[in-house]
Amino acid sequence: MTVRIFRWQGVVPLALLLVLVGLLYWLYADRLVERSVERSGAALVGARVDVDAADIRLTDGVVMLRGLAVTNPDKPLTNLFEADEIALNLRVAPLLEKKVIIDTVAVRGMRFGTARRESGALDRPSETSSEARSAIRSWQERLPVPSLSLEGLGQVVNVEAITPDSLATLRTARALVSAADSARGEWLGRVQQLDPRPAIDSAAALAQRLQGQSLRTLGLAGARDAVASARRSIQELSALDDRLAGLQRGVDSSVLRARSGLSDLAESRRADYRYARGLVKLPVFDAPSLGPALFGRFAAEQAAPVLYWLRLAERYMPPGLEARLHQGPGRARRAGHTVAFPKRETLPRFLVGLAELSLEIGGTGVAAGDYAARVTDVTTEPALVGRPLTFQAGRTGGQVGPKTVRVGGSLDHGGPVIRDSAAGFVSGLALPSVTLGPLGVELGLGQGGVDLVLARSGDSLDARLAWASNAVTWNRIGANATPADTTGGSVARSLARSVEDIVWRTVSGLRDVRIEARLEGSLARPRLSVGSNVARALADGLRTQLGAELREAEAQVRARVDALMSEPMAQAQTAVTTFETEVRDRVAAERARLEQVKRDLEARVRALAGLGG
Amino acid sequence: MLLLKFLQSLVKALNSEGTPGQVAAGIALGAVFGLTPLMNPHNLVLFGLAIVLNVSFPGVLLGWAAFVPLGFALDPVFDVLGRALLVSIPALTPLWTWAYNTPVVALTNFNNTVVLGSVVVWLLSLVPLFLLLRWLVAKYRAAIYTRLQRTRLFQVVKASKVYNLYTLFRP
Repeated sequence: MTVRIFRWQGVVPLALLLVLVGLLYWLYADRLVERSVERSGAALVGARVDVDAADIRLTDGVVMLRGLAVTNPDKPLTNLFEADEIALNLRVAPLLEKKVIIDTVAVRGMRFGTARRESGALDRPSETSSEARSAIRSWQERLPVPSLSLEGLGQVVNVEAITPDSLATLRTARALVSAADSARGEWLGRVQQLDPRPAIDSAAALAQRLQGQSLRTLGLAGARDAVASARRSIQELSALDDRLAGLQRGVDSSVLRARSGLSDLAESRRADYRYARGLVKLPVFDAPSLGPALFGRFAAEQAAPVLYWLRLAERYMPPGLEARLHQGPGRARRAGHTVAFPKRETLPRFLVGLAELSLEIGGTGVAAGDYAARVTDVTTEPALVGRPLTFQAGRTGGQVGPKTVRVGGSLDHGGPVIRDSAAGFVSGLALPSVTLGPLGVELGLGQGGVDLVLARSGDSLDARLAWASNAVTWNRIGANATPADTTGGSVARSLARSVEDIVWRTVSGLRDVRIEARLEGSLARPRLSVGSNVARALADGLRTQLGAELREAEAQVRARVDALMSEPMAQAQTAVTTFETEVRDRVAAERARLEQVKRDLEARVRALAGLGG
Repeated sequence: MLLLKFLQSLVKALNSEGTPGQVAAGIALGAVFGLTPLMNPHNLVLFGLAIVLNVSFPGVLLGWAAFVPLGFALDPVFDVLGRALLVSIPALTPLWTWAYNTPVVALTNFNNTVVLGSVVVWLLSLVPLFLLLRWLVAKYRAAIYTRLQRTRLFQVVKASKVYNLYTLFRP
């Protein structure tokens, strides 16, 4: 029986199937685009992205998105931004290559920081955003931010808390004593092992025997034997001297190490002073230490989004054209990974040629008004586009307040080395409050300005962030909180009673506050330094008010540390000196005696040879 | 119930007479829908082929249903295989680069590790699966189906609506 390959009756169902597919596309294409934007956006941002409606007109190459809301990944109940309408002009042919090439984007009705009705946190954020977030969290946790405690002030300094075992210098001194004693024993042992005395004594005896002898008294044969014997002894002494010289070089080097140990002791002692201050809770009141202690965490929190977006930009706009793995689409089945294979002179997977945005910040604040922004060449394969992504934003019409919005920059990922730069200044922003726990105050920065200058080259980052406000508020917090009083009168009266009062009087008079942070070093783990006029004022104020008390407390601490250290340090000094003198002197003495005997023998040889002397 | 009626009519329309080869070809073809992620263009093309090629359509549905759990279970294997093919074999990179930058071909999601891995596994197993199934179906018809027909339970079932369901999977 022959079986036909084709089932011609199936043509009609096939046609129906194709019609069904077409119908489904017609019905659900808009929804499909909505979902794609929401899914891609969520993977990119690391938080929920919502689109109210999408309208596709492929014949015109136009896609309209309405009601876009992008959640702030750091604040899931707040939107990073919202846009009423986004019009995209895209090329249709590249869609067949699964490439989205958008020539222009117009965004209207953009608003920042709007509240969300429900949380925009994702149950399962994308691998990329999770990795970036976790790396930054790890950086924040490991950031060495000095702590500040005023607990020790105003209390009797309990120097008994400083015990000998807690000081590093003591341990170092004991180790040095042990090392010096051990080295002394070892080198003396080596001198002993070399045992130069018998050879020197024997040569000295020979020299003694030949004293006053001549050719006449010894005879020709006797004189020849005596000269030969003396020369042998001289050779042996020379070889012995070489070995003693080697030994001396070794001893010198060992002594140098021991002396360096003594220098380390001095440094260790300075560290112990600092440690002992901390042990009795005496704070350090200099501005470079106070700045990071007061604002280190705040600066790290504020800088974290900058690092986050830099990392995401690197991940989604990688340099070069190697095959790249991305997380696959979300589905019931395993997502797997999708690999991109970019090729020179082809289109990138995603490109927005030009995006123009109109922003509106509502309200009556100094930042309220209309703004315009322009972004060019946003792409997933910068090496194919060959131009850096650029962005700039500025105010086009203010309702109130000064026109002080300048943001611009470029992300150049086209070459093998990533080069990013950005600069911006925005005023009239609602700045957060900073709790200065150890001081018992909260600083409300109010409306102020943020300044950012950033440069990245490869893995190296140099960024400066500054927050400035001239209308800050101060509030006392904690158990002893009293109503805010900035007049200074009542605070002055309570100054002597409480350290917190001194702090309060110092800071509460400040109306202008500027906090500056600098991030330097590798992008993965940049170093953070923070300075502020608050720290400077506080350092001055506390030194003025508490200088005498602090100096006295410090003197007590130093005296206690010195008392505990004096004996072990003297022992270390003695051990090193003993080692140096004993071993060096012994080797030097042996060499001097050897040299003398050698000279005597040479004189005897010359005399026997009839050369005089 | 509506779905069952639709499928019954589909069976009547498409598959009145099915040889063991047709049934085996149907199951082997249907396996692709279970093994590979469903919402991909290659499945639309293969579904179209299942309609116009003279294979057992109930066999296609049976293959689909039977291989879904296997597909889920083998996803990690597909992922590893797909990744190896896409990333670890430099000799294949020009092929992938060409496909990635070629209209329509790029839409197939071949560059997803699970899709590529599962399609490759299905293609490799297609012929052995067909031969094995054809042998099994022939054995089933010769040995089991004739004996099954004589049982009292089968007679009862045949008279009931359950039989209608069974006929879906009858060769």
